[in-house]
Formats: sequence, C-alpha cells, structure tokens
Amino acid sequence: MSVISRFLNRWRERSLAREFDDELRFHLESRIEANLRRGMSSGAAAAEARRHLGSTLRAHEGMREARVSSLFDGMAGDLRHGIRVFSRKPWLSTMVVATLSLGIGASAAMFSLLNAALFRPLPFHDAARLVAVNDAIRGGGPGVANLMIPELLDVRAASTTLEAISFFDTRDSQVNGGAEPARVFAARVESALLPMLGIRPALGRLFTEADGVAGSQFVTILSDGLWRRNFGADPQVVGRTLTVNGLPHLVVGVLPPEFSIDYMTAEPVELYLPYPMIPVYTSWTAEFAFERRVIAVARMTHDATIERVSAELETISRTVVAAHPTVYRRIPQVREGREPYVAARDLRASISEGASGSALVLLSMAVALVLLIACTNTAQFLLAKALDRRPEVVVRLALGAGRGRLVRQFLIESWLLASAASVLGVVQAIWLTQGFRTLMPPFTPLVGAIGVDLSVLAFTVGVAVFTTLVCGLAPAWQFSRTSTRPGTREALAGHASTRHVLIAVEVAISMVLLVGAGLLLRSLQELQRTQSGYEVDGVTAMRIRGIGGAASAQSSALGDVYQRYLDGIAGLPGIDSAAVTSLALPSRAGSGFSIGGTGDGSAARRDVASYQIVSQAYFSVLRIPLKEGRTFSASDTSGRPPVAIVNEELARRAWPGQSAIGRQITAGEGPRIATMTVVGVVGNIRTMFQAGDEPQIYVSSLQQNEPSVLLLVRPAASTTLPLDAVKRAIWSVEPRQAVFSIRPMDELIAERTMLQRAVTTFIGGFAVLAFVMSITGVYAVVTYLISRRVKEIAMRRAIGARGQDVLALLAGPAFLWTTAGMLVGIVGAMLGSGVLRATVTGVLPLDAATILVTGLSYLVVVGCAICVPAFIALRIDPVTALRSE
Amino acid sequence: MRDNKKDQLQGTLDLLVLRTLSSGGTMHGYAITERVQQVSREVLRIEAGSLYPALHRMEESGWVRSEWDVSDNNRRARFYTITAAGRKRLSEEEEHWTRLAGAVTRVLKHA
Repeated sequence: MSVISRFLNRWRERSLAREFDDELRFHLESRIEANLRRGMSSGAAAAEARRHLGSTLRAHEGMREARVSSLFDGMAGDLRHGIRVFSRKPWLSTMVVATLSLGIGASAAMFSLLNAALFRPLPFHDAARLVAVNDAIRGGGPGVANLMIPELLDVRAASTTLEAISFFDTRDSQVNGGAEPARVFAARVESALLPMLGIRPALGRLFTEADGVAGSQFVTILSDGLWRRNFGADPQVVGRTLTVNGLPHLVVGVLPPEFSIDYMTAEPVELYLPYPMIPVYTSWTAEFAFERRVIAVARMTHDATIERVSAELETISRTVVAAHPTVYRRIPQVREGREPYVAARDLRASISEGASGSALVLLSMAVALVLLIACTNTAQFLLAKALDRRPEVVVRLALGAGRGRLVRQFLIESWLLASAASVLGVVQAIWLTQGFRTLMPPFTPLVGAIGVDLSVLAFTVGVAVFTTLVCGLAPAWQFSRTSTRPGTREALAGHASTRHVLIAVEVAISMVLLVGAGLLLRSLQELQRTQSGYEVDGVTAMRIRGIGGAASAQSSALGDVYQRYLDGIAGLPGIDSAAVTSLALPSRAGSGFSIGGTGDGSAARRDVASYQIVSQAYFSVLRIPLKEGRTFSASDTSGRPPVAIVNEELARRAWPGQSAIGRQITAGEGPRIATMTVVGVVGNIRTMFQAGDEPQIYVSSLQQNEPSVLLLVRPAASTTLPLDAVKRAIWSVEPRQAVFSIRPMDELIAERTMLQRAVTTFIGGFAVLAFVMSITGVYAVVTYLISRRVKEIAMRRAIGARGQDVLALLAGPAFLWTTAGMLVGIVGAMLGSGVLRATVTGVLPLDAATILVTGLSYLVVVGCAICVPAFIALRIDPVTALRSE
Repeated sequence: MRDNKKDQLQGTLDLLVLRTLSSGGTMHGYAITERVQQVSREVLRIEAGSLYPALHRMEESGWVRSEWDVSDNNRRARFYTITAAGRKRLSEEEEHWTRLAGAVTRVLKHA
C-alpha cells in the first residue's frame, strides 16, 4: 500500500510541500514562543529558533524522500540520455531496432493467427453452451465420425441435459437462371439449427418444422453474399423464386452478413435448404442410414456441464446401440469388440483442433525462438554499448549513483529499443497477416478473420515488456556487479564469457530452426518424389454434381449421363481423353474387400484397398499402364455382370504367381457392396503420402451411381484445353449441368500438401531469419571483442607470436562456444523433430545426413563470421596499433 | 539488516521517537524534540532535519499515524500517534538496543 501511495504522491507533491512547510513553520514558531517565554528579545528568539530548527532544506528533502516514490525521478533525463546514446550510432541502432522488430512483428502476426484460430469465441449466441456431438469408439483412435440422423433423433428424444440438438450437412447445388448453370455450396439445415445458434433473419423468416416434410413447398434461405450477388440486395427478395437443382424454390428469408456456419464446413455456405425430414433420411432402415452422416450441434441446458452431457449421452447411446446392433456392427472396431458411443465436446475446441491447430502451436514455438534470438542480439548490442560506457558507469557509481538507478538506465534504453521495434513490428504484423491468408488453405474462416486487433496490440505490448526485460537485464546484471575500481582484466574476461554464452544460445536456437527447416524441406521433396505411376501434367480437373441422383447406389443412371458428356467431349478437336472419377487419385485410407471364389474352397481373405469409381478412360487420362486384361468397356453397364480392375499390388497379394483375370472380388461399402469379376490389372499408383505400393480397386462408373464426380480432361499434346467447348459439349447433353472448381490437376494434388508446404514455408522463413540474425550477432560480437584487444594483439605480435597462435587465441573461444551451441541445438532439433513428426504428416525421421549437412553449412558460415574479423585484426600493423593513443 | 551505520543511527532515532510517543500519547514534532531533550537532561537533541523525515518515513511504514489538529497555543499542528505495528517495532528496537548496550558495557568492563 505504501508503494502505491508513495507512487500516487508524485501527483500531489505541491500540496505535500505545503504540508511540510506548515509543519516546519509550526516547529519554528513554537520554539520562538518558548524562547520569548524564557524572556529573549524577539530578534534573539527567532535567531535561536532558526538555529535550533537546523536545515529546513534537509528536512524538506528527507520528508519528500519518505513520502514520494523516487522510482521515476530523473526518468526524462534517462530517456534523453538513452536517445542520445542511440543517435550517436544511428546505423547500428537502426539495425538493432530492425532486427528486433522482425522478431516482434513475427510474434504479433503469429499471435493474431493463433488468436483467430484458437481463442476468439465463435460468433454464436451464448457460444459457451454449444457442443459438437459425434460418434466415437471407446478407447479413442480412429472411428470418430459424424452422427447418423436416426441416431441423433433418438438422442434428441432421450436427452435432458441438452436443451436442443440439431444438424446440417452440405452439398453442391445448382442455381439456374444466370449466364450459365452455377454451382453454389449449400447447407441443408434441420429447422431447429438456426434458432438454436441464435440467428435472426435479416429478411423474412427461418425454416420451420413444416418446411422439411414430404410434399411441402420447396423453400430456401439466402446467405447475405448470395443475396447481394444474385439479387442485387433486393429488399423485396422474399417471395421471389430461385431455381435450385432444377426445381423452383421460394425464397423465404435472408441471413445477416455476420452469420456463418462456415466454421464447420469445407467451403463458405451460400444457400440454405431445409433438411428433408422424410423416412429415406430419418429411418434406421433407410438405404444410406449408416453412410449418411450429419454435422450435429447441440446446446446444453443452463445447469448442464460437458461432463454431465457426456455421461448422459453414453447412457443413451448404450440403449441405442443395443437396439440397432446390425447397424453398429458395420464399424470394424465394433466387430473387434470395442464399444461405440455418442460423445459431446466443446464446439470451439472441436472446430479449432486438428492438424492446423497443433501446427499453429508448433509455429508459435518457432516464432518464440526467433524472438529470443532477436532479444539476444539486442542484449549483445546493449552490452557492447554498456562496455563502451564503462568509464562513465564507474564514475557514476563512484559519485554515488545507486545501482538501482543504473539498472533503470539500462532498462530504459532497452525499453526505447523495444518500443521502437514494437511500432515497426505491428506494422509488419498487419502486413504479414495479409500474407498468411494466401499461405493458409484456401478456405479457413477462422483464419480468414485474422487481423491486428486490440488483443494483438495488447500482446505486442506484452512482448515489448518481455523484450525490455530480457534485453536490458543482461547488461544491467553485468554492471550491478561492477566494482568502482578501474576496470580490471578479470572483469573484462567476465564480460567476454557472458557474450560467448549469448552466442551459444543464438547458435543453438538457430540450429534447431535450421535443422527443422532442412528436415521439412527434405520431407516435402520426398513427398513430391514418391508420386509415381501416373502423369497429371496438362490434365484439367473440374467438378460435376450429377443431376437427378435419386436412383439407387448400383445403377448406371448417372454413369450414363456422364458417359454422354464424355462422348461429347471426346468428339471435340484438341482433346486427348476425358474421364470421370469419384476420387482424383486412389485414397490412402482404403476400405475393406475380400476375395473369394478362388475355386479351391479356401476361406475368403480380407484386406484393405482403395476403392474408386472411374469411367473407361481414367487410365489413359492419367497414363496408368494396363498390365493385363482390359479396361472397362461401354458394355460394362448396370444390367451386366459387375466387373472390377485391380492394380498389380492387389493381384500380387491376392493371387501370388497367378493371373488375376477372371477372379472374384467383393468390395464396396454399404449398398455398394458387390462381388465382381476382375477383368484387368493396371500399374500401381503411389500418391504423396504412400510409403509403399498399396492395393487399389477400380469399379465402373456405369455400374455404380456416384452423384459427385471429378471430370478429368487431358488436351491433345501441346495444346491448351478448349474449356468453353468442353462446357458446351456438356450443356448440349444437359443444359442445367453446372461445371465448377475448374483447376489444373497438379494444383489439386499439391493442395494435399498445403499444411506441409505452409509449415515448411513458415519454419523455413523463421530459420532464415534466425540464421541471418545469429550470424550477424556472432560477427558483431567477435568484431567487438577483438576491437578491444587490438593493443594486446599488437603486443603479442611484436614479441613474436605467430599469426596462427594469435588467430587461435582470438577465434578459439568463439569457436568453442559456437560448437557447444550447435551441439545443444542438435539435441534440441532431435526433440523438435519428434514434435514436428507428431504434428505434420509426412515428415521423415531426423537423419544424420540432414543434421550433418545443416550443421556443416552453418559451421562454415559461422566460421567465416568468426575468422574474418580475426584476420582483419591480424593484418593491422603492430607498430601502428601500438602507436595509436 | 543492521550492518550499516546509517541504519543503526536511524534505528536509534526511531527508538527514541517511538518510545516518546508510546509514553506521551499523541504529540506534535516540536513536543517530541522538547520531551527527548528534557528527559535526556539536554544530552540528546534531535534536529528537525532528522526528526521530520523519520516521522514521515515511520508513517509510511505504518508505525505511526498523523493528523492535523489545533495545538495548545491555538495553531494548526500535525500530531503523531503510535500504532500497534509501531509498538511492536518499538519492543524490537528496545530489545536490540538493550542487547547492544549490554554488550558494549560488558566490553568496556571486561576487555
């Protein structure tokens, strides 16, 4: 309390001084009165009293010292002193501020990213009570999935801790009426969802329960974006009609601009449709009940906790699972005896976790390291300045300056640097956050909202304070031990060792980042290199959502339509080949298949393979060689015996040493399950994250109905794709067909390594920063230390020391400490690589080659930074050096 | 704590002031100097330059509190009163002083 009152007294010094005066005057007057009583003359009485009182000045000062905090006395003077010190070496000071600002700017930018992605609350009403609900398997591991609709409805009926539970899913939809059929990303929302999230429509109304039922009128709600784009922000839009997926829909509402459920979707949602609450979707016995998963969100009651909700959901799901054993037994882990249950977790956490969340934490750690190097560099600079000012400091100490005052002087100087750097840093952060958006996956709404806001500014202030302390305390500590005796050699040696330790710290941190960056780069190259067995250059990919997809799974309804598109495209000039496929490339996460009918009566063997629905020309578009048998033909239709094509790896595993042609294979999930005859064997495809060859199964798009496909078109050699002609060929078959997400296929594939590339770019950037900072730091320190020994060197040379001895003397300690730092850094990098591998898939284990290459290259550059100043010092003529001064 | 000469002198001054306040009740600064001078038979004279800083310091430490009031001679004066913390401090200082004085006396007698 005393500290605070003493601090506050700074602002009432004048009234305090008046009080002191009053008190002393009372003392004086009392004495005079006493003297008068004793019979003195008035003059003598006053004189005696003044003598008796003594120095009023001393009393004044003493009282002030007791009452007013002296912590900030002379601060303005210290500030001016600091500015003078820095402006004496403007270039060096600017360099230091610039370096530090890079560290601070990177930290602030990273914080803004972290804040947006992990901490800022979701823009929903009372978002803390929202939970995500999903399927899980006891014992964790893979198996977390979205809920099935009937499952969700059972939970809704039974739960008392959830005030509401609702769901949505997303799908491509087509909007007609514009220049060409447009695809929009739509969300089908159950009627309770939007009210539960606390949404009020900007215009019109939200969905009601009556909207989703069979036979109700088709209605739709527009997002603010679509309303502005397609309807020119028409305030009378409610009641107008929009053709969605070929059917007229009545616009019943428009949502406010700030609302979005995009945090939970793969793309921004533009259009909202009511979820059809009809038995095809809601019943446990519906054909796709197991496959059709929806994103479930719930609101807890006011008195519920996530633990209570979880406990209740487990109880409920036990009953539900027991009632529908056949459905749940389709989960492989359940067949292995593990228990499925319904789990709830905080919505914010469920959205922000995952690969990108932990990658952000990783990058934040890296940026903290960069900041630390920047601080170390600044501390080095201040230490050098301090050493130069050693005579001044010694004089001030001798004259009675408190050590506290000296420490404060250093802190003020580092604060000056830190604030200048912070201002610059914030500017950089604004600029960097713009850059982040281009590096992040194309659609990341949480990250899309990043920017420099108040919390980022507050963070920057915190970083500045941290920097001030870290940078200022090293020299302050050094000098708090300084004796007032003239500087001795030992004292200097002490300073040199501090500086060497700081070098080692910088070097160690740089090594961690450099080795990490090297490892990431090598892993990325390896990822690119492992792709084999196919060619995508020149191929353009576009997405199509088949129109009229209500047919059952195993039909050729859509396949026939696709085939007519493909025939039209194949007839165009300048086209090599075109195909549709359910996946761009075989997936790594395969599904189960079994082989039977081997003829020898052996039990069916099970394995896991990629399962992909493709049209006839898929193999020629991607230049996948046919090894045996045939590819699909136009006659492999839904009425005909189902056929499959497998890759060599599957054939090798299933029928070693024998031909695969004519064998039976059972594959597909849910309603897709079919036993097929193998008609062809194609070459193995190895995609980016695949270490070895894996089994791959291809089935015909004429035999399996797939509404969402990629259309791959390869133009004839050395021509560009006639895109308009391709679109027209499609529209001549089906004028309502939207063609979207048109991109080169290599770009599409590169997107799979978005996270890897983003992390590599960031860590690489940080490593370069760290490298430059540490090298300049080492160079500056060595130069500085040598400059203080010019006379000593000259003396040694004069009495006959050989050049190499002097060189060893000068460079030796720096080398020793640098090497020590590198070793520590390598240990750090080993630990770091574990974190890296746990965070980013596809990162290779840290190998000796990466360490060696990085370490040696670094050592060479650091060696130069150490030896160059030493050589320069050696070339100074001893006589000249000794004569100076 | 007490290895410094200045601290020791200050401690002695504090002791005198606190003792005076503890027996004399509420007093102003002038009365304190008079009282110490009188009781010590004119041996100890406290200068205003030492007394007032000490009083203000002790008030900041919470050993005494002060308020402005009207004195016997009808003037505004600042009156000091010892606090509970001040009495505790006083007993510590007394004990310290007694020990020190005893030690010095023993040295003078026996050394």
